[in-house]
Amino acid sequence: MRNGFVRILVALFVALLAVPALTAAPLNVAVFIPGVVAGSPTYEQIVAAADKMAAAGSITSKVVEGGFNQADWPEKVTSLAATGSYDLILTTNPSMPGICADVAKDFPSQKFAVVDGMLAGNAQIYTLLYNQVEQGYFAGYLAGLVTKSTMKGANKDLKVGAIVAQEYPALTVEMIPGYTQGFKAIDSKITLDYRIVGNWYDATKGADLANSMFDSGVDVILCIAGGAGQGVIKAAQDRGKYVIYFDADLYSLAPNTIVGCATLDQARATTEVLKKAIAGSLPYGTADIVATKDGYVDFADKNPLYTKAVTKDVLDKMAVMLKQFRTGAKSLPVPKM
Amino acid sequence: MKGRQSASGVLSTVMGLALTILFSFGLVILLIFLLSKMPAKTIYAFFIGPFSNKYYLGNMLNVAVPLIFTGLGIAVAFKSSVFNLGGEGQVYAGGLAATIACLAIPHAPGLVGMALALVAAATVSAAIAGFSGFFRMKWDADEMISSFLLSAAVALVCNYFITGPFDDPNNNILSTYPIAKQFGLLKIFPPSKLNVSAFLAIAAAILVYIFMNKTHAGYEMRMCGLNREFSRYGGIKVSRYLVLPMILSGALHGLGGGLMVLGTYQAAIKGFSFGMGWNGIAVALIARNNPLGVLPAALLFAYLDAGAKSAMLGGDVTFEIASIAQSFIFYLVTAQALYDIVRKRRRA
Repeated sequence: MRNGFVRILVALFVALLAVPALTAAPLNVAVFIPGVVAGSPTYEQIVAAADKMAAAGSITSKVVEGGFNQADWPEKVTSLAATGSYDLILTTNPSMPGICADVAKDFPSQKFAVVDGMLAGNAQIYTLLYNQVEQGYFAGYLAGLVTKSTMKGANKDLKVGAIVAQEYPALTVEMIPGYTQGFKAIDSKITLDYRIVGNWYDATKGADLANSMFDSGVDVILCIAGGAGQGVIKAAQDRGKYVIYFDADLYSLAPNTIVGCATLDQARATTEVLKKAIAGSLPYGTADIVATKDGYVDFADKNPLYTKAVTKDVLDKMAVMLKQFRTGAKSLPVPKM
Repeated sequence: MKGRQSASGVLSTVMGLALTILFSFGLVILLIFLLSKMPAKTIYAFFIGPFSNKYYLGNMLNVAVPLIFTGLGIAVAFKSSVFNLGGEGQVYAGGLAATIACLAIPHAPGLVGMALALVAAATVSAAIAGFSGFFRMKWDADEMISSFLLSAAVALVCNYFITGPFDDPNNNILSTYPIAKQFGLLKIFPPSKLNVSAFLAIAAAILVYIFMNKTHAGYEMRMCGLNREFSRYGGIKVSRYLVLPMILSGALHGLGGGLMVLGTYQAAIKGFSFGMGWNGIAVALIARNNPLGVLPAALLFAYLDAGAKSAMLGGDVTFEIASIAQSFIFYLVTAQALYDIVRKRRRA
């Protein structure tokens, strides 16, 4: 009798302990987008992944767009931290670790996670960096194959192009060197025509630059220019030339003009970072680097719009190269930034 | 009798302004009800949010600082009946000039660097605005058009310098190299960005008021603003007061930009001064070009800005709601619709 009573008491005690665990409040997450979501596939992936987890009830998600004025970003992130309402501020973009580190000084209990950024050693910040040397390599390898191909828009000049919105360390240290390694692997005589728009939105300037490059003999352009890329694509469509897109599978924007998409899996990265944050196992203070063999960096070669856009020879050579990276047989190191 | 009329005019102005603000707040509430799924929370965040913690309050006051300088710059020009529409470019150029000055002397003592930076900011922007005044004096070129066009060109030149020769390659945002730490203005309300430039803004408003109302040059400027032909007949060298107000206006805009760099950003970030020039015009118009009135007018604009940020974070509306409210105030103030209604009712 007495034993039974004790058992009941123990069971009640365990149940009382379990109730808060079972009804634990969801993780409050603020998703800060340095720019605007609409029109940016990588930002859309992050927001969609956070929304999906919020719909499942494991987090609450508040999305805040920072807008195009970069000077406003630190203040907006600080405002989020100042509310004291968020367990985690999740953001993206290589510029954000530095901004988060500044904000973290004033709000020592605020945690941050940055996907597509790198900063090690700050106990409040976790970062995940994609190996964008490999991503650039895929784009460059394809550019090299296209410029030497018999495709309709390709010419005899061994010139490939790159139009970027602005210069920043991830671009100059990872993407463009990776791109260069890629086309040089096809033919060391291929040269690069490299132009900078100066902002992320000026489609007219993007088109002007692209036309100027096509006039000088370029037949394929890597575009890392946000909204300005729309101008590059339009110019390529008008001139029968080619564009290689970065970050997302977006062949449908301009079939037969966009001939390749070197991708990042932001949705997967976001989901995994949030799951670790919920479980309390996100290793703040560390900076992870993920690559093609991990499945975060890739090239969208399954899309039928890709297989239709390039010749069989290009398809075959790309497939061989991609297999090497996907299996881990080949990899490229990320230089220190 | 005259005093009574004057007091009545002031009362009409204040009531007209109060009505304008009430209407704009009403518009904000209406928009929130239309756009928000949680209107009560969003309205609370908009109106009370800016006072809810030290950070928001301090930042709101900090946003008012450059607005005070640009508002003063416009007030000086408008009071003299010259029109400086180039504030945007002048603030931007001032900020960039201050940055370059600091980058040129990275090891100078803090006070020396700050002083030099502000002198550079004021000088560069005064020269830019002064050109428009000079063109008007020399060739009767409309300073409203020339200052606007010059500002647009100056902004592009500034963009070139920020993203070109002075671009910091280690920074992922479009920004110059940061200025040395000793040139940063002392923060007075951490963790907010509010700094000692707030005191400079108040001092500037008082000094401009004294200059415009208690000095000979200020008197002549105001006379020229009221009636240039009458002033000429009275022996005032009116051509001088086409250039001087523009120079003063440009210098005040430049100081606003310079203080933004020293106090808030510690570098010239591309587009950092966006909106400051145009909002300065609205601030001056709300203040009826009274230098002391610029202080509360700038605070009102900063409050709308802070309210929108708070509503965006605490509610579910976008930041653009502030721009709509500010535009509405701008429209009502420039149209003077509500002022006339108040005047007519008081006469009746």
